[in-house]
Amino acid sequence: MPNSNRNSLAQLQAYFTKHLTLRQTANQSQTAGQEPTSELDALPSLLVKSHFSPEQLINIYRNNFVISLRELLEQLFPVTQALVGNEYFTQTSRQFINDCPLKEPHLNHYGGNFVSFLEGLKTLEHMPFVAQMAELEWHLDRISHIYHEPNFDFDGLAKIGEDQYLNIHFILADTCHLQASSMDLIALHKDLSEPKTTNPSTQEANYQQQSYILVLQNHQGESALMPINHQHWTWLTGLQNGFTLAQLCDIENTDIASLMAQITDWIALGCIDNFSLRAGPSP
Amino acid sequence: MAYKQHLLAGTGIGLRQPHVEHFMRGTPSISWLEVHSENYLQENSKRRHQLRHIRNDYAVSCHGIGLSLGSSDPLNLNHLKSLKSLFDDIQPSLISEHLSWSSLDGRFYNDLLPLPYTDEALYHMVSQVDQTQELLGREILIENPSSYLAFKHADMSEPELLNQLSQRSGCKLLLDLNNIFVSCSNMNTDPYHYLASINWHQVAEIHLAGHTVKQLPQGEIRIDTHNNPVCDEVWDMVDAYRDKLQHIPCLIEWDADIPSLDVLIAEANKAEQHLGLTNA
Repeated sequence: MPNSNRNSLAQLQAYFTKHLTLRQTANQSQTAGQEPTSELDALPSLLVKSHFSPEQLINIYRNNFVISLRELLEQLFPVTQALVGNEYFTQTSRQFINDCPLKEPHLNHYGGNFVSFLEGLKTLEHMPFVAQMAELEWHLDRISHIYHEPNFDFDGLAKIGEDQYLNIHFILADTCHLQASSMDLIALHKDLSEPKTTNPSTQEANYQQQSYILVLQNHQGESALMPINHQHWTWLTGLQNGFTLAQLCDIENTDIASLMAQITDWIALGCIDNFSLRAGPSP
Repeated sequence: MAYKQHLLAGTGIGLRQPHVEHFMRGTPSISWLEVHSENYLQENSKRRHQLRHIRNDYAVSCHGIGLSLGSSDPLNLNHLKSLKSLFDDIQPSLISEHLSWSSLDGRFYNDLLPLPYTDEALYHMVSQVDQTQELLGREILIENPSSYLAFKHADMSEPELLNQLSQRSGCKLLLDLNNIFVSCSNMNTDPYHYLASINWHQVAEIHLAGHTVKQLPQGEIRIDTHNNPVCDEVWDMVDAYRDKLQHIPCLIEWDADIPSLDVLIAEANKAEQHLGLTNA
């Protein structure tokens, strides 16, 4: 059995992980006028002597961990990075990596967690469009990775009697995302993705205008941004919230014919991929 | 889904995203492919759909980096369940993980962290591998990591631990020759002594990759970056152990600064020449 005088595997791993997050912890301690914890002395004493210092060796693992996550964030959020500048993005990424531990053995949701982190940052309180841009980029990436084959059940829809039409609830595809902003995020995204170099007048674009955005997967399987008007936004968010056609008609005094025409367009775009029939109102 | 049967033999390459379209449109000349399991966990993803398509034309090996078998945390059963679902879907010829840990108290560090080669670590790894193989209903392979440090209180060497682990758990070994060279260079030990210590009957896959030499004030250290061609010293190791290696599936790993598919296939062909599988 293992020698009980030595550090157990669990203890050694606890020492190691303390070192992996040391840089931020030490900085924070110094800021608060405290000494770094003496527990940190334990790990170096357990290492085989080398011509490199324990800190240099542990730093290799720390760099692998921090840099791989930072590079992922840079890859997912290039426009957000351009919006806030490299220095702020790097500093914020580092803070996120330290403060919001990765809780899964894969990186499939890591970018979504970064959006939530930005939304809660005090320093961005008066610049909500930064987190909104990150949200937009996150969904552009998320939607681009979904395998989606349109298979709307037109036959099933045709079988529904006209008296039941108002009880239909159309279901948005998971390849869609709706977003509203007080900024023209699509124009901002476009300008920061493809910086203009020739026409000086366009560099003074006014991004301060309300926008409603549909992010969707197009027929080529790529994610795309589509501006929508307020009425379409209201209908689509209604669908997202589980509203039936009857409830949608009530929202803006819409007639069923124009609503159905729009829904047909959304089915063709792949935004709606299913429907359900809700129980009608009690007599 | 029933896939065409393909034998996993000879030299393969890691399937990386920039090359996927080549395999969707045709069947580039390579014996087999390895994928990182964690990149294909989402059932409704394009990646999973593409892998199903490609799997029909190639034998596939699934290489995991997230099980954190050496962690003192309990085995992550949710992750194992997702992996099993992937393996049931893709039906890989081989499944592999690492002699390392990457999580503690539920926090993941996205890197392969070093274990002390103690009796306790061996018992723990045997238990974790046993449980994994039981839940997956099949054998797995365990890969030797690249190391940049070692612990004083080791009871055995890395090859001794791998041999014991394999003997006690029934797992096979994935021997990464670049990792052996990187670790031995960094620890100032002899890679040929390492190779001579391995129980070759248990080795079921070989990895070859490139690494980076980093200059620090006290000297150079080798970092396992998978962003370069295989170095000459590792080819020398392949030549020296050709008789043992040529019957074992061999993989060229290239994960960063990924070159064109032609370059990757040329590196795989070079491996076949060193292994004596084709003429130079």
